[in-house]
Amino acid sequence: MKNKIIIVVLFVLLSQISKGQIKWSTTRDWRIYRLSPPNVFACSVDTLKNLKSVSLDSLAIHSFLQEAKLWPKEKYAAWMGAYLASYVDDSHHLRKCLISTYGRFFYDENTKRYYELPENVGDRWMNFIEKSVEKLSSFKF
Amino acid sequence: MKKLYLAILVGSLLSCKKNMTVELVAEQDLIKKAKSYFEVEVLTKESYTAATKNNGLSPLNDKRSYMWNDAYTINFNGRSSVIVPVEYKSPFVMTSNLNRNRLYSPNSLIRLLIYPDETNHFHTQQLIVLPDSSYTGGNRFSGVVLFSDPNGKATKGFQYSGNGTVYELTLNSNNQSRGSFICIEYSGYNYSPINGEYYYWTQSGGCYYFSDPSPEKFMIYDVGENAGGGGDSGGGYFEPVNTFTIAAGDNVIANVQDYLKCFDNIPGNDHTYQVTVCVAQPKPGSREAWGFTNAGSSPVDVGHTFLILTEKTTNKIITRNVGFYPAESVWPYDPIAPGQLNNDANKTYNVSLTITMTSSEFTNVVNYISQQGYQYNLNDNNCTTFALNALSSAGYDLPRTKGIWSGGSGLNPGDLGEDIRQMNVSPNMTKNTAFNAHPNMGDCL
Repeated sequence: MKNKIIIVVLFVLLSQISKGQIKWSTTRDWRIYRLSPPNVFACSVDTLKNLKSVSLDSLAIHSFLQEAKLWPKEKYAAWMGAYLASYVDDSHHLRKCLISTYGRFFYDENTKRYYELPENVGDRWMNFIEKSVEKLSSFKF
Repeated sequence: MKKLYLAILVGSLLSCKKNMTVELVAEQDLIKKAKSYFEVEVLTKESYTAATKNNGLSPLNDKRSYMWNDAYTINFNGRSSVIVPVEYKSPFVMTSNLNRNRLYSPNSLIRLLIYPDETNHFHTQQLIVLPDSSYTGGNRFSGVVLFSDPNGKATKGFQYSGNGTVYELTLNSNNQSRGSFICIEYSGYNYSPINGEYYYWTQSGGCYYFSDPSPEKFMIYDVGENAGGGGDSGGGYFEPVNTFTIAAGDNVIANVQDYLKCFDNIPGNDHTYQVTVCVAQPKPGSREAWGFTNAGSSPVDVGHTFLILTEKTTNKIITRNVGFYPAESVWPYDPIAPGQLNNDANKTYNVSLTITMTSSEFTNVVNYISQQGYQYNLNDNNCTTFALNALSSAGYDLPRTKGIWSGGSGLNPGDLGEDIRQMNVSPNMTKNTAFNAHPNMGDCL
């Protein structure tokens, strides 16, 4: 009985710790959009389909995000520019994400939580994002 | 009877699906054939091998890759044809004399077109899209599209007026006087953040005489921020095309002394020194500092302030962009982080103030920026503080209105932007509320 109680308590504790933590490896169809501040902050998920976007390499994204650390829910950040991105979660819903232009952090709008990548991947992360963004400014025949 | 209707319905649906599948296979097959033709019959030709890049020469004929995975088909001259995006190996920015205020990556303006003739033999052209000053993205495309060889030498094209009128353009190779004509000049900047080399280049794009207006034969549209994905060249509202430099912004300046080394300190009338303070207010026209008040609220941009340093002589222009950022994330309850300087060449702004200075005043600003060991403080030493302190080092004390936000207070882009809008300026100052592209340029001579 004692063991069962311990197991239940551990389960509850683990649930609390991981609450809000997204399992990034289950996300798919990452895209980055051509939209600038301040509009990136205000636009809603259902308008994303009207914006031009390019896909982000899933393997690369998963590789970066597996190292992302969830901030305490009380913490937020000063935004000095942002890129607009989206992904599809494991329940097939489209979710909006904001990627900061400094500080290696990003924001998931659905859970309203911030994540931060470790310092050693910061340069590679920004290079990856900027290369993707560069594809967005173009014309189509 | 119901079974018959159901069978017809299912048959129709299956037929639709089959047609869509057939079209997709046909498109992929065409792209595959075009790729095979291009790689076997075209790439091996001398005209497609990269020329040696020398300072001052146009990089338009530099090495590039062809992005076949992003290729798609269009109807060109009544036949299915293939459009292939390109990607230049070395980054540079370009524009034309049709609108020198907007800069683009060549990857966004140049495409490969492969089309069949009446005997189904493939031909190749390079397409160069040149928006003019009327085109802001919120309207129909206006500008020129040229059909050229891989070195940018065009023989024909189309000019789009933006109201649906399209003129065919034909190269005026013999300088014949045949009515109205338009001359094109490409220009741009070669940008190399690694070795700090910058140079300005120009290349003639030829002169073309206009034909009579013709129906819009070659559709073009900007897949802009509000594009619905359709192919109508005039349909929908498009957000202004962002002026764009190479994605080199958010680049940390690793060695600021090296970054600023090309500026010199030479008094005299043949040298002009200017410092521009640029402000991206969170809400243009408002002193609003920050919009959000607590965790869990949706993020809001706090804006940004940065500097543009420019030295001009009769034979050179040197420009460097500098912005101050924290190296780590900051928020009101943890506002301090090591500071870093970024190349803000690709940052937008909505109000600016340009100050023409003496060489010694300018040098004071350069020296201030070049100092090491700055610590970022969201309240006391943020991007706005840094910019104002840099100007103060030269004797220019702009208004320092402080704002208040949840958990802090201090100088901020919202207030500075309004202070600039409202201030009375001296004869050596110029205010501007319109964005102008501001790439880094110039090298040490």
